[in-house]
This record gives sequence, C-alpha cells and structure tokens, in this order.
Amino acid sequence: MNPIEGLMHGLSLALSPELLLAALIGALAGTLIGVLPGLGPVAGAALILPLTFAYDPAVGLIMIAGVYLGAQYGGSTTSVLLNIPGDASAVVATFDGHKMTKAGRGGAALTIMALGSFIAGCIGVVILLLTIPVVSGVALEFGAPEFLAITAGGLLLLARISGGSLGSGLMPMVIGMVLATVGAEQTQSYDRFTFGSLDLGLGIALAPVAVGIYGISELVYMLEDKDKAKAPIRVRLKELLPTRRELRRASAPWLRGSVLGFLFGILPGPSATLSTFASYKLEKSISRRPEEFGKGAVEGIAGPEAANNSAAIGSIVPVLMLGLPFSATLALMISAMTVQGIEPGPLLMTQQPDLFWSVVAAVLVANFMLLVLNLPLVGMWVRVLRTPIHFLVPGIMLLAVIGAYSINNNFIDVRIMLVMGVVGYVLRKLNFSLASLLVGLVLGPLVEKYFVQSMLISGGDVSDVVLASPIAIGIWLLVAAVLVLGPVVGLVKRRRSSTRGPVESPVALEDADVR
Amino acid sequence: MQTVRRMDHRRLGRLVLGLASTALAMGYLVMAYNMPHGDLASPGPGMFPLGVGGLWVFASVVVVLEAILSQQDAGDLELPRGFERRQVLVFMGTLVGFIAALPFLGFLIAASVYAAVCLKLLGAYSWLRAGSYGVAMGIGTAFLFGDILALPLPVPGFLAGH
Repeated sequence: MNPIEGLMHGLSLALSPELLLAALIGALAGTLIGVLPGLGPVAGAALILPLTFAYDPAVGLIMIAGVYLGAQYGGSTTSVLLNIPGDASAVVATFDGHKMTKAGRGGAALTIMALGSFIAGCIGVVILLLTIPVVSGVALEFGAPEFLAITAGGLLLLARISGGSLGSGLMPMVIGMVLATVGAEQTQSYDRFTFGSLDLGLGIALAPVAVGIYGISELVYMLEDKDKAKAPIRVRLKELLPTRRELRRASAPWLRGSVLGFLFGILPGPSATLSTFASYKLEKSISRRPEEFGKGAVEGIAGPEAANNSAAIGSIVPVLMLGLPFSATLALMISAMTVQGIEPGPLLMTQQPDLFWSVVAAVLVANFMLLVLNLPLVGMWVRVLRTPIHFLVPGIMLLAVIGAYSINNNFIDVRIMLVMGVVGYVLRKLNFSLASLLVGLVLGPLVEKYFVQSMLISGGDVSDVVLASPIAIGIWLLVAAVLVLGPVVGLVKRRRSSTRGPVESPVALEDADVR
Repeated sequence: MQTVRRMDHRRLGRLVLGLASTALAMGYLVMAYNMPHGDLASPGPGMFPLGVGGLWVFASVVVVLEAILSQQDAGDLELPRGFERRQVLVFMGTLVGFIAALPFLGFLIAASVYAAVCLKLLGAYSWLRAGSYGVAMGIGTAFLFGDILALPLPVPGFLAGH
C-alpha cells in the first residue's frame, strides 16, 4: 500500500461513526483540557488513557491524538484571551495574541490561530506521507542491537538536551527507569523491588505516575498562585472574522511555520515549544514591520501557531515508525499501544495497517473538527475559563482517582498517584524535567528487552552489539558526538557570553519542559 | 561548608535531594546485586537493575556536584505563604483523607464527602450548600463513569465480600 492509498484507506476507516466519535471526543476533551487551568495536556491525556483500555486500540490512540492536538489549541486560546499560556508551547501566543485581544482583535487572533493550526495539520500530514516510505525502509533494517542503540541512545540524548543542566534531565530519567524495574521481570517473572507486595508485582503503570507528577503538582501550583482570579475578555461570534489584510499577512507565515514545525517535531526534546520560538524569530527577522512584533503583529501569532501544530504531527513520526516517544504525551501513546498488546515500531505499518493508517487519517479529521467546532464554541470556552477553582479541584481529583483505580482495579495505583504528585511538585520546584521521568518509565523496559535480546544473540560480546551494523554504529557515534560536543559547545558559549556580558534568553527551556 | 552557607534555596534543595537520592540509589544497587544477575551472555533479572542503579548513583552525584559548583539552577523556591499555604494544605489534607477512606467507604460515599469538604474549605459555601454540591458531584461522576462508561469503581469495604 503506497502512502496515498494508505491515507485513503485510513480515511475510510477514520470516517466510520466509532472513530469519528473518538476523534470528536478527543478533540473536544483536549481543548477543554488545554483551556482549563490545572490540567495540562499530559495530565489530561493520562486521565483519558485508562478510559481507552476498554475500547479498540484505534479508538484509544485516536482519542489520545485528538487530546494532544486539542490541548495545543486550547492552551493557545488562554494565551490570547487571558495572557496565560495553557502550556509551554503556547507562551509565544501571548506575545502578539493577547495584544490583539487588547486592541479588540481577539476574535480575529483566535481564527488566525485555528486556521493556521488546520493548514499546518494538513501540511504536516502531507510531509508525514512523504517521509513514511523513507523512514519505514530504514526502520525495517532494525534488529535488537539497532533498537537498543536508538532506545538507550535516545534516552541519553533526551537527558542531555531536554533543557537545563545535565542533572535536571538525567536524574528524573533514571528515576523513571528505576520505577520501570519494579514488578515481575519480563522473561523469568522474577519479582523485583516489590517488598513482598503482590500489588506491586504488576509493576508501576504510567497513567498514575503521569497524573501525579503533572496533574496533582499543577493543581498545587494553581492553588499557590496569587493571580489566579483573572477574568477572561469576552469575544463575540461576529468578532471572529479576520480582515482581508490580516489573512494576507498570515498566509506566508502559516506555510513557513508548518514546514519549520514539522522539522522540529521529528527531533528529540521539547520540539513544539522550540518550534514556536524559532518561527517567531524567523518571522520577525524577515518581516518588513519588525517593530510591530510584540504589539499585536498578525505574523507573530500565525507562524508560531502553525509551527506548534505541525511539530505535534512531526513528533508522531518517531512514535509510529520507531516506537520512540520524544515527549510525555507521546509516551502515553506508546503506553496505550503496549497495554493493548501492540508492538510500536517499524513493523506496525505492515502488521497493523488499519490501525496505522486510521491514526494518520484521524489526525487530519481531528484537525478539521478543531477548526469547525472550536470557533463557534469560543463563547463556551470563555465560560469554562470562569470555572471557580473550588469546583475544579475536586472535579479533577475525582476523575484522576477513577482513572488511576480503573487501570488494575487496585488501590495501589491511587496511592502511587498521590506519592508521585508530591514527587512531581518537589521536582518542579527544584527545576527538574518531569518529561524525562515519564520517558524513562516508558523506554526503560524497552531498553532492558533489547539489551537482553542483543546479549543473547551476541553471546555476551558488547562490541558485537555496538558494531552490529552501520545503523547501530551511526546511532552510537551520533549519541557520543552530542554527549561530548554538547558540554564543549556550552563551555565555548559561556566563555563568549562572559566576555560580551549577559545575553537575554526568550525562555527557560526547563520551564518549557515542565509544563 | 562556606559554599553551602552561601547557597540559594533552590540549589540547597537540589543538594539535599541529590544526597537523599544517592543514599536511595546505594540501597537500590545493593538490592539489585543480591538478585540473580547471570552473566553478559545470559543476563539474569538483576543485570539490568545493576546498570540502572549505577546510573542512578552517577546521576545523583552529578546533581550534588552541580548544586555545589554551578549557578545554572540557582533561584528562590517561592513556597506558598498565608492564604495560599492554607489552600495547598487543605488540598493535600483532603486528598490524603479521600484516598485513605476510599477502601472503607467506597467511591460514591468517599467522593461525595471529599467534594463537599473541598467545596466548603476551598470555597466560601455553607455546609448545606457544599454538601449538596458535593453529593451531586459524587453521584454524577459515579453514574457517568460507573454506570454509563462501565468502569470499575471502588465499593465500600463492608460490601466487598457480598
């Protein structure tokens, strides 16, 4: 099946009532999650995750993909209306989006954002289709040593480049891997670190950890925020139409942002956030009116919003092709696959073509739904923003407890969620990366599996594993280069900046990663 | 000692966490060592945790050294005070109580009581109003997730055997 045939096949599946409903629920829930204070995309997707186990794998994955895309949109809505970004990738939307709202053009800003996200979604899917034959061709050459290189090397790279200092990424990642070793071991069913508890024998599930470190810690952050009682500006339906001039100014940034965002998306790290800043910088540097940036420039919202959405689609490439998540939400997607007994990776497209293509097509459908539904619903989202915090807190926690309990019908998951909430709060306060912890928890068992397989195949010869193929050698060399060159480049930059004086940074990457 | 005294709160926090993490990592490593770890040609269940434990010790030491030697993660901790601290303590206290009561009271009763207490203590409602809203939230979520979506919800301990 070539990519075009695959997409058509996927669309025929995605337009079935069941998957259409899954995309609709996912997109709406995602927007709600993005708009609601106290629930970021990761905690929101983690809440949805246990609810998806009762349905077909495609339904679950499409819902999570819908939540992912919807939350990006919802997060930017609060940036425009309230000057409060729903997540890190929506920070740039505050620069010009809120200024447009203050100037009475908030409705137009929301439409430009929604149109940009839709266009970026379509372009992202087209680029995804073009990359599929290339990536899947390479991915089919992968065996245990290559997977070991990409999972273990990917973890090391993520720890190094996830933002902040080395320890900020490395320690949470290792804690995630440590949590993954709790429970019965895969090959011999040997109980590890269970302290005699039968409940712990099942291992530590991803969803309670994700809800704890992101959801509970976010609620505590919200409760300790002194400025939480901020009222959003009302936007009427008739104010949603942008002028012709605004649309003309937005069209080129949409296209540039889409391509740039996709390229960022396939790289490890907080790619959606980085792509928005890169797009903003690009638009400002090539604009004929750079002085308008930060004061309500249309290009300042059109480019980054397109980049944001396109990066979200680009980051699905390593998940579907290699089974490698580069962000916390995508780690949840991998978890949804493994719980349903699906092996993510290069064989997914040939072994589960219906699932693969329906997910790709559903991304397109979810994007269309976000465009059609969210603009008319903007009044409702504004009302959601006014939900009092004392209703939000018990409401979110009731959902979280149901989600955690329903994974294994076990109270241990609920208690783990509570403990991880405290851990997440402490780690956030001390500037550690939370996403690294989740990715470590997801990739830890895969690293162990491929390590054991590689060692059995090679008879315990480590050099045979590292030098197994040109692909394995290439990956290990790349990892070594980033690990060695990273600190050297950092040192050179610090030396240069100390001779030139302090350099203003647009955003702290560690903040970007936390949310 | 001089370095520690001059530290800002965040670096001090990272130093304490790094030291605690080192101690935990040592314990983990000892436990991993006592598992059957086989050899490289045929790794046992303790082999991978040995490697992870070693990496954990390394990562913890890196955090300790960064806290002492680097300014990169310097900053204030900004802990909540006054009203905000009260709100956070109410949230954590009610949540711990809810989770502790769940096996005995089951979801419906525990959720209704939890929501009512949260609404009373975090909002400014009378007990009657908070109780009514709380019961409505408990019944609503139990009906939606338990009856409509057919998810398993905790039942009261005294009914569990029946």
